[in-house]
This record gives sequence, C-alpha cells and structure tokens, in this order.
Amino acid sequence: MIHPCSELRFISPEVGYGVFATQDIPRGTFLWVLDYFDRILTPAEVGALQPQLRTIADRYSYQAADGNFVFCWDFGRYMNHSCEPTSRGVGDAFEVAIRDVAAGEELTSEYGTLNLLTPMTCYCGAPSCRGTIRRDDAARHFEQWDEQTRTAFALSHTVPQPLLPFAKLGARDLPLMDALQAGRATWVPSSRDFHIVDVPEEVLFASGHGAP
Amino acid sequence: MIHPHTRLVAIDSVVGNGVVATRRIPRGTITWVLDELDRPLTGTEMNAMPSCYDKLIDLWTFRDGRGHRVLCWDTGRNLNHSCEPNCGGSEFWFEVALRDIEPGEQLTNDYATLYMRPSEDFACRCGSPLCRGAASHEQVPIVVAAIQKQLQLALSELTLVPQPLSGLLRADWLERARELVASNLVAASVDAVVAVGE
Ligand SMILES: [Zn+2]
Ligand SMILES: [Zn+2]
Repeated sequence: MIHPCSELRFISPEVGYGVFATQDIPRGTFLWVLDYFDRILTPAEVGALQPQLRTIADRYSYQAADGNFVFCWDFGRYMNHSCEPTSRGVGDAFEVAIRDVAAGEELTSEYGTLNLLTPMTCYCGAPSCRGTIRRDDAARHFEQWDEQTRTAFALSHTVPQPLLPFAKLGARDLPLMDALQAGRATWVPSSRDFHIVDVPEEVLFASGHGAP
Repeated sequence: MIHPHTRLVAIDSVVGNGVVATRRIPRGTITWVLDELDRPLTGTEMNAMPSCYDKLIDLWTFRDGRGHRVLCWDTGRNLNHSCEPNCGGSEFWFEVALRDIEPGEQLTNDYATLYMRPSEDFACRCGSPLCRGAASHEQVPIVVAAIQKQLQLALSELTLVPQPLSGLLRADWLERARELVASNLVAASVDAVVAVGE
C-alpha cells in the first residue's frame, strides 16, 4: 500500500506513470508497505499467466526474498527506480524514506533489491546513476544502502506512520517491529540478504528470457 | 480486466472516481473479464486481516456468489452504481455492455445484482430517470429479472461486435452464462444467495 499523501501522475510515453508526494514527508516514514491486498504469485503461477497478463505482471511485479512475485493492488506498483531513491526496502514489508521528501517530488525505490529477471537500462539522471540495474547489485552496494536504511529506520518511531496498521508482516519484520516499539532501532536486515541467486526456471522458460 | 477503451476519471466530490468510455462500446461487447491478476479473497484470508481492512473490503471488492469478495487489480473495481446500468453479468465472471455506451459515458453496474445484503442498502443519486432513490436488497429479485432480459439480448450479439477481451474469456464461462440466462437461473441463484445471507 502506497503512502496516502501521494498521487499517480503520467510522466511521459517513455517512462509511463510515476508516484508523487502531495505533501512533505519526513525521513523515516514508511512510504510503502506490503499489505493483505497485494497479490502474491508463485513462479509457476507467473509462468502460466495468459500472455496479456504476463506482460503486465513482468512490468509491475517484483520478486521478493522468498522467491514469490508481488503484484501490488494499488498504484504503489507504478513506483519507478532511481539510483538515488527516496526510499529503500527494509525487512520484508517496508519501504522507508531515507531522506525528507518534498511535496511534488517523485517517490522512487531501488530496483537493485527486487531481483530483476533481466538487467534494466537506467535513465534516472542521478549523479551516481549506475547505468544498468542488475539482479545482483545488492551484493556490491549493500554496505552503503544498509547504512542509509539504518539511519532512516532509527527515526521511524519519531514520525507519523499512517501505513503501519495495514502492513502484512513477514518473519524478518517482527524484530523490526519490536525495535520500532521500543524506540531503539539500531539494527536492520541487510539488503544483501534479499538477493536470490537462482532465477526460477518456470518463469524464464515461459517468458522466452532463457533456454531452451 | 476492464475493456481497453475506458479510463478512470474524477466524477465529483460525492461519487469520487468513475470509469468512462474513451470510444463507443457497442451492445454485446465484453466490458470486463475476471482474470488471474484479480484476487478472490476467501473468508479465511479476510479473517486474517486487521479490522482497518473492513472499510477497504467494502469499498473495493464485490461478491462473486461463490463466497469470495473479488478485488480487481485494475479500474474494474471503480465501476459506480446506476439504477439504469449499461453493464451487467458479473455473476458470470465477465460483464457485457447491455446497450451502446457512448464516448465519455460512465460504465455502470446495478449494485443490487451484486449479491446485496440488507445492511448494504444505500441512498442513490445516480440521476437516471429510473432511479429507485434508495437501492435496497428487497429490490434484488425485480432488478435481477429485468437485467436478465437485457443480458440475454446482449449475449446474443457477442459475435457481432469487436471483442478485445476475448483472449481472456473462458469458453466454459460463456457457455454457463448462456445456460443461466436461458433458464432463468440467474435470478434464482441470486435470490437463493441473498436469502441465506451467503
Ligand atoms: Zn540510475
Ligand atoms: Zn439510482
């Protein structure tokens, strides 16, 4: 579920849609949470989708750390990637704002932790743009990413969290929630641990990305 | 999935958003098909949700007559009610245009055909000359019977008009729909479900 102070806007035919803040949102705010309406698809289910639906799922779903694909029910699925994103994933269910977001600014996330099936050329325009976003980017960049996430999450108990009641917590979120409630969030799971080494064959063969 | 020649627009502050046709959609066109990205929520799944979801379930899902509340992934979930709807048939797991829908016109359902319960009666301001003023579960049998005749006609014209959603329609669903309208079973099944409170 995407933060309530946001709206969907059409950016351009090349980029498509994007999600924009309608109010200032402070660092530490959860900009998105995994919720009970989001659709979870197994690799086999993705591989068996009718072609029209497969195109949509490929574009708008991501592969979570457990290997299943998440297709967001709301316009959270239109959040674009940036190499200097407004939020980073923390735990299984949260995207936390790693800096203050100004009204009108686009909400962006890091696709490098979303287990992309194929590398993506990036045109985000950020000074530190990596040019190509790959499935295993977290393995190279996790230290910097984790530091940003840790600093932001430490502020999470000090800011309003309208999405928190809607979050569908995974196993890795329980210690996070304990820390949040105790007001001492000094530890977050590493983004490196969300990288899946194996690409599910059911999905690849059905999509024509790989052999045979 | 909703028909491609539609888009979501802001209607007004009371109604909120609605789905309007961007081109003419002739009678007999399939306007929506239940697809694999739509999510039928089971009772067990809904019970596992925190109570803050109650409102969201009421707002965004419809009953499919099989005990599920269906959450459409696209603007299929934004269709508003009209006492004179131009789309119907959700009980077949697909919908069909009951009359020609002009560009700019909203696509609508009669919520009384969606397994309405007594607690769900509401005051209607749909603006149709046929507006019932208050949509009530007691009207369900009459409403369903009236729509059934329109559905029969619309289904008979299915092959006469372009069908961009045909790739998603299952042949057995179409067969079932034709049987249901031909044998007046739609009204019976809706009646039965409403009577037992599902
Ligand atoms: Zn970039
Ligand atoms: Zn009315």
